[in-house]
Amino acid sequence: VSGPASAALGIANASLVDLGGMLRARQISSLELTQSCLRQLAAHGPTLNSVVTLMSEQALAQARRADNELAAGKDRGPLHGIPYGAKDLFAARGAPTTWGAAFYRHRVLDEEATVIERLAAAGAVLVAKLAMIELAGGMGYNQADASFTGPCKTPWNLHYWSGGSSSGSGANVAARLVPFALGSETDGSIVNPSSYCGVTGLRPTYGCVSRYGAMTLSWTLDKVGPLCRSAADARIVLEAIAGHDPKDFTSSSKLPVEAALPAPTAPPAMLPSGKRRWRIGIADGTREKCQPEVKKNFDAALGELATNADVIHVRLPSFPYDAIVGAVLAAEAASAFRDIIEDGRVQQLADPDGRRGGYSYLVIYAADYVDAMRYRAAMRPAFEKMFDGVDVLAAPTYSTVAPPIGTPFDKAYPGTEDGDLITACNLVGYPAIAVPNGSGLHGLPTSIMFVGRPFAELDLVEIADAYQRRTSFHTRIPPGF
Amino acid sequence: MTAKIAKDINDNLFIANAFRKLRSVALPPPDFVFVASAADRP
Repeated sequence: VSGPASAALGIANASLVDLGGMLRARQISSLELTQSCLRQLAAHGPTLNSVVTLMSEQALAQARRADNELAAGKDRGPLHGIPYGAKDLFAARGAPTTWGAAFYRHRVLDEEATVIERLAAAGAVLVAKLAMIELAGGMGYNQADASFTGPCKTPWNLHYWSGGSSSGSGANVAARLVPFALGSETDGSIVNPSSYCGVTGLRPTYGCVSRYGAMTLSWTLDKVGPLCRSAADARIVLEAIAGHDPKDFTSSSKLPVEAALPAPTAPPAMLPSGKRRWRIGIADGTREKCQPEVKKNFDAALGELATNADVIHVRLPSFPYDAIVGAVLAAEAASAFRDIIEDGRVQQLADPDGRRGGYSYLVIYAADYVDAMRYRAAMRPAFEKMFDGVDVLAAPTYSTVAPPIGTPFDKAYPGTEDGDLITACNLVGYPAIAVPNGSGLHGLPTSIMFVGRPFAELDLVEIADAYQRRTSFHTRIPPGF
Repeated sequence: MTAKIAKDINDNLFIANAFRKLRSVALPPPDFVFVASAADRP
């Protein structure tokens, strides 16, 4: 389908604030927006392998309700009437919750994830459950075809992967099929599809957003966050979903948005660029094993921020990150998925690595898990010290562009290597934002990531927003969408 | 399949080996959140 409906409606690059303004000015209705998204998802979802379930009936009812409320003067805030999609790891009544695995494709959970409830309370309209890597990659995977919905494709080039495990969340936002989407991250699953699809992904601090009703891969690592068209949009979604939830005792009562909240339809009250001088930390070795284009775009992005930022070289604390995350993930995933490992259902997974990964998880040494948790406790003061001298860390989000579908990940780009930053910061629970910063090989997006202190999401949004006000990479739309 | 699983299990040893190399590091207690009463949960 060319000349998509979103373009016809003039909303392909509309921010959430723009859409809210159009809704309140009666230039468009929530019903029209929702119908447009449903049409787009139906038209392009099968091409991208990005959609699991369209929520047509419920979405149209929600949209009508949103329109009626606005007409009656009831305004639920900046997300009122705005459609979105959710990774199919969140329970939502009225649709199967598949976790991307074939053996759960017909399973309907009789509960609603807290984030879905909170977005409904904010007036947002859930239009679709979106594709994901099976079990969020919890049993291991080494290929794009690791979901019962097939390999999800980046809309920038259909021969290349969307990233994962929040695959459909990245692909559908990039293709402008939904204004925003929910994803989750254990060790890269928000920032990875954000990078490969060229969208803005915000991984909140551990505990910032309730995980009730979301699939558990690792109780001590999982985070829920939005994938959006811009940092400003990500802030609006975060504000709607953050905060303590009695149903998730690991959720914090501390909010990332303690500062004055913006008025419901106003743009987020961010500092105008140039008002603050940033101290951006770059960890040693950050650029070393990146593709040349990734390196070049990263340096150019730092150049864009140079007028109000100082670059400071820092050393990432030395810990055996791979071993720590390996022990934590294996032990917690073995417990979370013990039933499907022991009854053999894992052998129905699409990825050969995933079919057998769980068996070795079951026999991880308990002492290794305890040691890993002791290392994590030791990492906390080391990271606080590293952040003493910087406001944020910056790095290329990934060392490469998206890998081609059909090639095992470890064979796709020899000589490149992703640094330890994503794993390290997931282990300490620090937030990050990934922002598109140009194109690399095959015209595929590259991305820069900023990492902040716990609950410093507003700092991340501010610096990412400053960057996006000076550049237009986040407004680029893949050809054909 | 069985051989690959056996190899995976053997590969788990990389974790113990990585930790063993750093035995001299003084590690704090693990950061588990366990409380005797649900009311005391953070």
